[in-house]
Amino acid sequence: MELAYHFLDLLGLNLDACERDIRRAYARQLKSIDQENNQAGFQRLRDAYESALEWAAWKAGAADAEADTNDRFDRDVCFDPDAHAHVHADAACTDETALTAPQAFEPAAGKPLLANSAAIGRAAFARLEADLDTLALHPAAHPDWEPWVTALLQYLEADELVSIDARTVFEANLVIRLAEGWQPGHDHLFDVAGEVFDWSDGRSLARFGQHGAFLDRAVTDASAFKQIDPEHQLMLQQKMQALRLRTPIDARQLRADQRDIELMMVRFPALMHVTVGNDNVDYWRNTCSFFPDQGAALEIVDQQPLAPMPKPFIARMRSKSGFHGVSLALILLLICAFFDVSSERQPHQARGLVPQHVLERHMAPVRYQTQPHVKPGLLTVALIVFLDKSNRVMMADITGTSGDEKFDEAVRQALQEATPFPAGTPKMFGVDYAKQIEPAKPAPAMQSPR
Amino acid sequence: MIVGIDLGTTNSLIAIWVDGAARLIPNCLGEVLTPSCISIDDDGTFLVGRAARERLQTHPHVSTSNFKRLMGSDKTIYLGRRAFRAEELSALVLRALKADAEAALGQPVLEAVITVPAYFSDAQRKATRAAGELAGLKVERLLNEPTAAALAYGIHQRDGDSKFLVFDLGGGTFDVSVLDLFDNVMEVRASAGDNHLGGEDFVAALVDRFFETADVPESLRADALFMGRLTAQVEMAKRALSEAPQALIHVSVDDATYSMTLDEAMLEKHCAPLLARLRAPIERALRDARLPIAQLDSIVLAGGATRMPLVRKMAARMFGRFPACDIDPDQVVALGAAVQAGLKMRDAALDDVVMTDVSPYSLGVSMAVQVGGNALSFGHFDPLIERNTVIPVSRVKRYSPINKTQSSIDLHIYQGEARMVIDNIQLGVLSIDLPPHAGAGDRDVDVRFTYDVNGLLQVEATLVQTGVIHTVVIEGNPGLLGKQEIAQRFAALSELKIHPRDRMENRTLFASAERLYQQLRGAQRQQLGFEITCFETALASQDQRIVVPAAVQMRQVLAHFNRQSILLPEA
Repeated sequence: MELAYHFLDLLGLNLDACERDIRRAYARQLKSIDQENNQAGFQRLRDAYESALEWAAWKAGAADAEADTNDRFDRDVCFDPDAHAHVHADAACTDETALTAPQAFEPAAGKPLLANSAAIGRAAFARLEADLDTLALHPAAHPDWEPWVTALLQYLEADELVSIDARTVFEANLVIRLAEGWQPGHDHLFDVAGEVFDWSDGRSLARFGQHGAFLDRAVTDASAFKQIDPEHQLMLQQKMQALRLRTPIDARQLRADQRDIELMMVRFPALMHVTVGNDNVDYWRNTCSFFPDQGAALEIVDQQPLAPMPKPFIARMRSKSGFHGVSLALILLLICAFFDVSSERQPHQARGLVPQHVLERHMAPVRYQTQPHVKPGLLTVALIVFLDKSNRVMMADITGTSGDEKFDEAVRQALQEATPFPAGTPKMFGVDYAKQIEPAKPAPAMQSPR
Repeated sequence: MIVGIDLGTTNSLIAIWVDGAARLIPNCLGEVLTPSCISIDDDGTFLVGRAARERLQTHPHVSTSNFKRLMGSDKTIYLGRRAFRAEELSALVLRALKADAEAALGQPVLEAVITVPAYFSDAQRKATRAAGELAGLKVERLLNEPTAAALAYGIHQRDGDSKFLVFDLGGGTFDVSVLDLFDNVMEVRASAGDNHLGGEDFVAALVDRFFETADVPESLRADALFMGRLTAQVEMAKRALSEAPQALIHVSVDDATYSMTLDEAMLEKHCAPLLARLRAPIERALRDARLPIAQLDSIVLAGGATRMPLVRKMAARMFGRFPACDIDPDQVVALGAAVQAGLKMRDAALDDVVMTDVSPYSLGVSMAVQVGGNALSFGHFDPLIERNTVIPVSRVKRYSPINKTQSSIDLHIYQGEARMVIDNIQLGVLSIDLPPHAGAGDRDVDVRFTYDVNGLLQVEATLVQTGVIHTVVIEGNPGLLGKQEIAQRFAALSELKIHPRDRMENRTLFASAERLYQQLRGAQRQQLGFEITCFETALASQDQRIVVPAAVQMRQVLAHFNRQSILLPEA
């Protein structure tokens, strides 16, 4: 028995139907349906027709693929409108000046004017690419926006790109280059091109294969990024700029940026690749790894002041005099605080670390059932919280786990459901939420009698 | 009898399907184009059409035009002391057209197909429908303008297979449609447009230019009389440029004369930003139709503004080939509306023809999206009906509440193409109460969007578990008239006195003469003044043997002065 498709049945066709047959069958049935009064019937027919057309295209494509194993996304093949236009190639290339005379329109209607729009599009793109480096390095280019836009528009709206075919080729090349990752100037180019080529329209990039699909994700990321509170957005943009320029960074800055940048990589991965470049992020990550992770040690200093000191040293202090020992330890602690703790504290202050008791006034109760496998003790989860304009929690993200996912999630959920914070609360702040876990009751025995 | 009406920003037309062809019906002046202008005459009667357009210059405070651009809004337009809505003014135009058709057909006309720009929103469509009702017409169908143009073309080539693009630049709107014709099926593959781009914008750009070049004091912008005259002059000069290399614009006010010479290069330079806006809708339509330009059999022009050589040149450069305009671009939309009327009446000549249209924009709801594992990102647009889906269409999608604790879902309904709803147009909100959470998926909601052939949307939400249905009535839009209000306004409008049709011809002639008299200076003015007095005397006699030759004389005089006032002698 043959495999049958519902949509072919509905159109009264069988498996050897071609596109022409499908269209004819659809046309025949359409004429017997009253579109206004039989919407359901029309929709069934229409859905079947569209499925059948897709199936036919797939069938034809599969047949083509056997004959031709060329890369579908090869830019020159796929986006060359002349490849389709060869049927018109016999028509003479009409001089542009003929266009100025209105009476010239009627006799020549329908004839192509330009012989090779693809070549024009490619040439225009080559020009942009050649100049992009110099444009990016131009002193006027950073960080001002306006001169950049003007300069780039000259390339993107060049006179020869009025031809839609030429433009499409230009755009295709641009999409591929942008999707390949950041290069100097691409950050601005991405924004300007998005406006010029209408990339905010979800479907405009779908034409350009996998590169288009990737860039489309970057555009979605960018529009979500624009929803962030402007002040915070500016701060993030400055960090992105620092990543791009690979400006020498000190340990303090490095640690201050860590949460934000890693969060950006999670939330806006495609945007980061296109406007910052993954290699720049990797470079930054490598630099991070050169510095020992002082933060973790300092946090212990904070809670148990004497812990980082070597034990023999403490022993010696005790052996001398209690008073001196304590004062020495205090001085040491002060030095510690002055050099290291201060630098560690800064990011928290800038972001505003909201104390737990303040937090608990606003957040919903944490619904957490102690898990049997969790050891009794203090569970601490670190989160980063974003507020929207009305000071409601827009988003809460976990930046440091307590070790128990269920607990982390329960705290995050409680924050998500929090009542609005008072005016003046920073739009973004860190939270360290801690909870004492009591020893769990032993789980009831689940042994089945045997 | 169903008539087809093109209710345009600048001009309106009416046509019928008769003896297997679409025919335009001329108005009482014997012209097929009726300017969409309204004016209240000195005796309190209403003037529609050319006479009203002339009076825009001589009596700007009691005359108006371009009200189509206000359709669907709650703006009020004042004529003297009387307030009108755009629907009412449109209804007056429709009434005049209806009267013309009734006079020509000798039978009452009660049903119509009215065209709207493809990119008209839900509110604008409803306003157009209300205008029809106010004029005493049952609106059988709202037809997208580019689709109408495509129908007019398609009906001549229905035997073969072809694909073409309609480029419709009217007085106030720009529309693009891609049409696929096969086996007597006319399928609109895609349409796109710009609701605020048309011939009037070119005029406005040139008016701005005039203020700069001719050193006109900015205070004159508030002078309705001056602006009315200037706009008319610019419009005439713009038209004259289709035939002559140069045109002169000159306007006098309070003994000061301002003038500017307009040529093609200047027009091109100052209209470049407008021309650039033509591109986006074209690219969008082609994209959605998934057709490369090379596969199009022709590019078809519609809309009066495509007469401008500048626009044609732009189209030719964009498409890389010359566009076709076998049908008069001013008339093509009305002819298409008549074809649709013929289809509605199931005319034998159209027995085998079907047409399918598309929804011009995406419709959907606001949704939260999970990003990066466990964070939520709010305000994403999730389209249920993608733009350029063949209509009628009905689509269902299932949504769940974000939180287990929430007691209701607010379904925000949007229209638009942006990814974030903040950049789209909100159509309404549907609030659905949820039962308390009990188990997974027990509080899911099925949302159904239904979009009909007239482009009107209905939203229905069903709670899956209980089957409780909520239906949205898209309300809270200040631009819409309620049923009761329509009935009231219909009664009020019916009482308005319209200038008698049989006297319209001479009334229009007189209005033109008055307009020209204001424009001229010196000896020419004196000469025209004398002619006007003669004409007035002849009219007063009410003797057709005297009136008819006087009207002929008047027309010649006007033609003479009109020619002189606009064209420069060729160098």
